[in-house]
Amino acid sequence: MRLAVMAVLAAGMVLPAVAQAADAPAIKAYKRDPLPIYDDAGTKLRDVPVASMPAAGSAGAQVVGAKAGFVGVRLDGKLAWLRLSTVDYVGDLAAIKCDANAMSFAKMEEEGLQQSLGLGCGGGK
Amino acid sequence: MRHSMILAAVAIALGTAPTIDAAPKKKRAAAPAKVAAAPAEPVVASLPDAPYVPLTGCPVPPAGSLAAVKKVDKKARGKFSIDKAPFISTLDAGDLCVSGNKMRSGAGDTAGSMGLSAQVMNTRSARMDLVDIPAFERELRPVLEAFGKAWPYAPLERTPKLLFRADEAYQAQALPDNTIVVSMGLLEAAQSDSEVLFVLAHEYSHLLLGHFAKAETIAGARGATQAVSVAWSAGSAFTAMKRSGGNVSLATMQSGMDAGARRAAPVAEALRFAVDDIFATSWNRDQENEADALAVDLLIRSNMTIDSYANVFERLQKAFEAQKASYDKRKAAADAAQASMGEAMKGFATSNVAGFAATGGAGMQGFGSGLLKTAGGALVSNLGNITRSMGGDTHLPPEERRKGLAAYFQAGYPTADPPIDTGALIGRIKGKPEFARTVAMRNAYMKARASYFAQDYAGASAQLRALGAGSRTAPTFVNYVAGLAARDQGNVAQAGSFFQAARTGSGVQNLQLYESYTEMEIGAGDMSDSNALIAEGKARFKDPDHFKSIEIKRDIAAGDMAGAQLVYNACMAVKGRDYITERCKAAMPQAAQQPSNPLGFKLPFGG
Repeated sequence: MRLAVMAVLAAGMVLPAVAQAADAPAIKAYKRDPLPIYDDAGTKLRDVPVASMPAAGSAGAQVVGAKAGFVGVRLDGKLAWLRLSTVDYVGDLAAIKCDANAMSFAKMEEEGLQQSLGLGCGGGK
Repeated sequence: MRHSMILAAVAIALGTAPTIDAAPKKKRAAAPAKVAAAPAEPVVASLPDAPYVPLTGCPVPPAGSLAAVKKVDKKARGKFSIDKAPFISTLDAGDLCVSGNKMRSGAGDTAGSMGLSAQVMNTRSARMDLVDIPAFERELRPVLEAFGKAWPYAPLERTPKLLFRADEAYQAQALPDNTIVVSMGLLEAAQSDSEVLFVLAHEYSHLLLGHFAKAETIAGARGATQAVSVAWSAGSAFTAMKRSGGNVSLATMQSGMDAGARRAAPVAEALRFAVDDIFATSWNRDQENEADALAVDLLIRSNMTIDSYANVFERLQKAFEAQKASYDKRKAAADAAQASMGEAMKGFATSNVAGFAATGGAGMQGFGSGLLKTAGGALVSNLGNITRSMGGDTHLPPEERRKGLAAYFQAGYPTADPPIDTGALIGRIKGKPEFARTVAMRNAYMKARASYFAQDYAGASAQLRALGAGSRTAPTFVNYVAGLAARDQGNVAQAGSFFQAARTGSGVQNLQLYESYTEMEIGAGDMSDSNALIAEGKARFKDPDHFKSIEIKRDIAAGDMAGAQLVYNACMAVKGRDYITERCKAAMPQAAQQPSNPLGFKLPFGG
């Protein structure tokens, strides 16, 4: 199910509203207050104060639909679309493939693995 | 069976059957040639560099041209260190000019106070496994150019060169020679344009902000280059032990040394790659946060999408957690490697190395037991410290960075409406034939490299030949590892032809290639070729100090101890680059152990 959500996200397609699974990915942060809400056509409907939104990371903030540039949440029982640029939502990304090299012995001190991005390949498989 | 099928598929995908179109030296016996398949399309080795526009003056943004600065909510940003947004509006134009000039200035001895951009260990030439992919750069250079237009302060004088790394890691790096390196693993993982755009903006920001010129960065780089020095010294010593250039094979050595050296040499070579893997600029937390914040500023100012940049932090967070979980495993692997090296060193200790050196041919005369024990001992004692030397883990956990950046965006951009992420850019990149070809090449190369490290030299050679080793159009690192495999098989002629193909090829030139090639020639007692390679390396990489340790080795091998001493003395006078002197000490431990003057006390005018 979660993979399906991601596949749809990646494809930029509309995902019909789905039942909320307990472990479904949720919005991690709201980045605008008030938060603009959009309809299915991408037209702005209204602004909603963040205080009136489900808490970030909570079950209420679970994403039930996605299309290019937007994620859908249930708000007052109805599907409400949010611009991705105004929230942090990462779906359920797979772990980074990290069998980067054959020299596992070199990856011995976690302090040394930081890279320019702030962290390098984690050595997990 | 499966393996050979994979390689065959790779060869087809690459459209490059193994070829021998290099120009081997006249004394070299060419490796068995195979008929080259005609490439499907003309090989474009490199996109022409972006135009150079010299900086004049110190640009200052006109008053009122930048967005007003707002405070970032302290509780929401947590430990994220940027407390005002947009960060770009808070910068000091004068400071940026000073940093930029430091980063650009000079070369080698003539460098300014930092001169980092001219020191090869900080440039693309010191990095392995880099590939130039014009088709990707053609897509991504306009992105960097747009960032440049959005930057109101002292610009980079040239849009950075983009190179790609044939590995699976999720990483990108900016180098002070104005290069940005993006790993293929990062492109593979990316599911949206905004992930790639954010990473490029982040790395570009390190360059714009002049982070390389900051004292704390340089301190970190010194630690890292010392680690490189240790690995380099040990690798050189074991290379000499293996008698790769001489007439007597390792099998004729004393048994203790034989077993030890056989185990140790690939480990030492592996370390060179490993250190390269982890040799990254040691940004501090503030610098990392600044690059994150400026990345968002650049993306907004250049009207690019930011929809899914949080994915970058999510992927890094998963790696962060996996890394912590795998700590014990990695510690155990480190202990095992160290034990293996210790065993190898016992072999040296019980062998009559000096006696062998005297009788083992011209190439061994200069490499006494002292060097071997010193370098090998340094490796053993430093193995556990090499990565630690690159600085403590001062970075915020990625999840904390994401949270901080969310608060930053909320404060700084309350009305911004960046475009929707269509995935068009990453779609175009992944849709190019070069993407599939490069991933297939990367996969096959990593297998071949693993075969080499496992001492399956014949297997590694076969796999690398399938990738075009021997051809000047093959990536430099493919020819390089093929050369190592041939060398360690005892086939110096073939190794030479691979190294030649790499040296004269169209791939991204690599310093390590020159070092290994020269060491092999020194080991073979070919001072003429050694001299030519050193001269070419100096000219090519424009950092003559870097080659001083090799010149010392050459002089010692030639029996010119006076010449070696002169170079050693010059090397000790190199200031501000500790790894240079460390390498020279490793190359001439007898000089390093001498008192500074025969009188035994310090003279006021130096040794």
